[in-house]
Amino acid sequence: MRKGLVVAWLVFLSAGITFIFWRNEWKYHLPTPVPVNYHAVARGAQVALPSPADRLLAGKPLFLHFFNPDCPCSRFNMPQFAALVKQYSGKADFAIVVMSQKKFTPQQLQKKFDLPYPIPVLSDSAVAAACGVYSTPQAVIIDTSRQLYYRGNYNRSRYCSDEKTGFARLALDGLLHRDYSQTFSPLALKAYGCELPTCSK
Amino acid sequence: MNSAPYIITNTPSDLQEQTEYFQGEVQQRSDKLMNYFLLGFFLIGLLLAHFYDTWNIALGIGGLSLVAYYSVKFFLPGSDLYQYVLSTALGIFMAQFIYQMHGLFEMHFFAFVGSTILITYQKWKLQIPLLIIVIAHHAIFNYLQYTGNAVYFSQLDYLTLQTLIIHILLAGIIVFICGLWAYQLKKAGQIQIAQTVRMASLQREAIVLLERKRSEEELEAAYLKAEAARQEAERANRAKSIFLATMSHEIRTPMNGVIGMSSLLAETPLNNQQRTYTETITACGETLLNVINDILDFSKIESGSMELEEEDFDLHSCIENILDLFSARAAKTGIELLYQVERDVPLYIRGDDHRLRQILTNLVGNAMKFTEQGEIFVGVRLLETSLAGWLTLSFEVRDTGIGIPPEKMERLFKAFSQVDSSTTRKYGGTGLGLAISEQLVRLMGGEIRAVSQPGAGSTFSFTIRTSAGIDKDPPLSINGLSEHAGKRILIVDDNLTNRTILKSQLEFWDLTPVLAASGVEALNILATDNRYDLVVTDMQMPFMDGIRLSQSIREHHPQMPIILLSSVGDEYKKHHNDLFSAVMTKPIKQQVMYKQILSGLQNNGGTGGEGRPVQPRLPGELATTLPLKILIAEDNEINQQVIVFILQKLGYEPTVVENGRLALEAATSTAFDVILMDLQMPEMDGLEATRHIRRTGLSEQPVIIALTANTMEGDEEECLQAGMNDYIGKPVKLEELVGKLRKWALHRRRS
Repeated sequence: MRKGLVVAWLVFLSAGITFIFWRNEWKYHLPTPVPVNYHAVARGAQVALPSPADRLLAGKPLFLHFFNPDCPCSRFNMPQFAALVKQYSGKADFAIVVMSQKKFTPQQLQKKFDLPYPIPVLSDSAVAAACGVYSTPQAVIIDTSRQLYYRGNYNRSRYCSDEKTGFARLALDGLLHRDYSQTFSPLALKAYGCELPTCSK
Repeated sequence: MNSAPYIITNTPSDLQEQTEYFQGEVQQRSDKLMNYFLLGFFLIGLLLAHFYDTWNIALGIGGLSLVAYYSVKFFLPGSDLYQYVLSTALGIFMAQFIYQMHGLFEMHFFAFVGSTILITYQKWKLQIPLLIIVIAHHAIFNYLQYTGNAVYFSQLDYLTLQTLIIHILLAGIIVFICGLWAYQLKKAGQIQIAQTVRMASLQREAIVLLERKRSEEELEAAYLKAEAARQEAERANRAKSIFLATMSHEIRTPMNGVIGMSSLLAETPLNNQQRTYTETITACGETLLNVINDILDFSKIESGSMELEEEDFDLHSCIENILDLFSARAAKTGIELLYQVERDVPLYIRGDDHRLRQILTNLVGNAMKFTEQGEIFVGVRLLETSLAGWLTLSFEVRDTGIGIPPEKMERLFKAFSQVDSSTTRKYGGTGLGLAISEQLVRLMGGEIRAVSQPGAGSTFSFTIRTSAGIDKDPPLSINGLSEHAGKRILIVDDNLTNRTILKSQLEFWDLTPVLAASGVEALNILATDNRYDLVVTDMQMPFMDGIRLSQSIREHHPQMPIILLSSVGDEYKKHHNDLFSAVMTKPIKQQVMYKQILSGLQNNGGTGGEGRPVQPRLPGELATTLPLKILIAEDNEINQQVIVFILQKLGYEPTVVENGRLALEAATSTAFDVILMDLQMPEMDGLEATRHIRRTGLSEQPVIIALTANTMEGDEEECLQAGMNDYIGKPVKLEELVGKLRKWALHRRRS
């Protein structure tokens, strides 16, 4: 009798463990929830960056990296952003938009991201709104005519570290080659990652 | 920690007990270790949660794993199920860490960590759940990745089936090796336990052997000591026996002269005074001989050399003979001597007739000594019969004597002890009789008891264990009396016991007894009813004795047969032969009574005698009827004379020699029929002389009868072994000598 009860109890616990694994699995499959008052900015639309961010647009494509130090995904794809900076230095301008209450200087982030040089740091949530960003990490590429070329994920991995599907790199590469016919998979454009601390559903 | 149970023997159960104990220790130690390891695993989960923000996994999966392990351990402490749950939990921790670390393959090492941890339990089977989890984990996630659902599971893109198989094979090898170590550890532990148990057993055996050796040495020393003491005791006992035999011989030799000569003297014409003196000498001599016999018997019993014979004998005749011994004295004092053997007691029993007589003679003799009036009753009854055929008989000797005070009862059966010294002086005796009787009864498998009431009498009773013997004589037939069945017999006796015995006896013979306690009562009975066929009356009765009663009966019933019961020495019958059909001497013997009653009923009024012819003690015509040439070899002059006189009285003319050598010479030169050979003689003793005579080539060997005062155990056997034919103990009893001569003369005549 007692043995039977214990076995039943073990089955119950096993079900609990399976459920937790499954629930995490399921949760990670979902894209980042879209905020309630989200204002979508379509690809090709004019981006009106608030000041002083608008001053960064100066003859070169602008690559904005939306970063939240408290988001694991954001943390783990820092090397990929740094690699892009190193690879496209001089061909495009880069800036980090910190989506957090924490404040960083360009030097601090240079050290954190292991960047070859300090890059501008923005901490205005209006930039995200202007770009239609509601998740981190997100890459936004604005061409020289201030049109939105790409807003999406760096890659398809949950932790944003899958270099094989480097959506952001491909997009930047395409813009630099003036390829406006480039298409992106939904996995690239649908935001997967952490919600913004300033946003709500 | 419990102390190891003490190992006693090298038995399988002991080994199992030790193994279980050892495994219990291993389990206890491992369980304790697991507490730390599981805590460590849980903390690692929390640590990893920092990387990818997997707190819900760390707390949820890790927590549930711990709950599973501890709950099973708590609810089923006697079962090892919790160990298998632990193995599963370690596998799940591995899966959890891999998950937390985003498919980091290094996390697989936790499977190996878990596998090695489990070795501590020394159970290879515990590896199985872990291996199953590893295989299942790999298989599920490989499938998920293959189907493209688990995009985030692995950072690797080469998780192919081959990789999966290699991983599982490697994991299997590690798990197998860990299981092997666990098995080897357990096996080594068991071997060690077995060796320890054997060692302990050997140690124990060594201690036991040591102890046994020491005990054996002690035992041997004690045995040697006891053996020495035994030999010393045997030497002392032999010395005592030799002393007793010598003393017995030395006393018997002169006693032979005293008794023999006084017996011979009694055969000569003597005046009354001389006869009294002669009888006193004989009586004193016999008493002294009894004392010596008592001492010898007691000595034999004390030394354990008393052996009882086993032969069939007539119990009635045994008791009657004893009562006969005392009948004369009883007649003088007027004591009634009665006996009754119950009907269910076999006529013949098996045992030692001589020793039973000795006991009964002693008890009846004591009763006679201490009873001045009343009766002495000897009764025998059957107490029990066993399935194996053993009988327990109870003998009772009851008197109406002076009795024994209660405080003296316990001293009764002690050797050399009498009720008091004054009694000893008054009544005489060695004080050995009862002690010997008690020992003899014990040898016969019974016990002796005494109850007494001072002034009223004593009852000595004893039991013996015996069996029914074979009836050598034709059974007492009741055919003769059967034709008289139902005839009425009037019994007249003032003694109630005697009346009861007679009644029971007559009823057994199918007669109808009617009892009267006095002559007057008998006459009254006859006056009212004269249909009686026989009257049995006692002689001595108050107011009207047997003669007066018989005379009165004769007046009215001239044809009525009357049997008178008288005591030894009563001379009435000589003067009143016409009154009685028979006169019987008490104690009444059954066979005699049967014949007399039969005769009385048949003759109906005829008179007769007692029937037992009086034989002279020395049949002077023996030499005429049985002529024998007799040689006497005896060194003692007095003894020579005694035997010569006896033989001369019998009509023989014996030749006398003084030693064995002369006897040998005489035997070879003259053809003797019988040689009476003393054993202890100078120059050549009787045994050696006999051997020489037997070796000579005589055409007709003489009958050699040993004469010896030695009555110790083995004498008779020694005589027979030397070639003698028979044995006569000294002092020589006339009847015995006559009997032996008669026996051997007839034997020679027949051969």
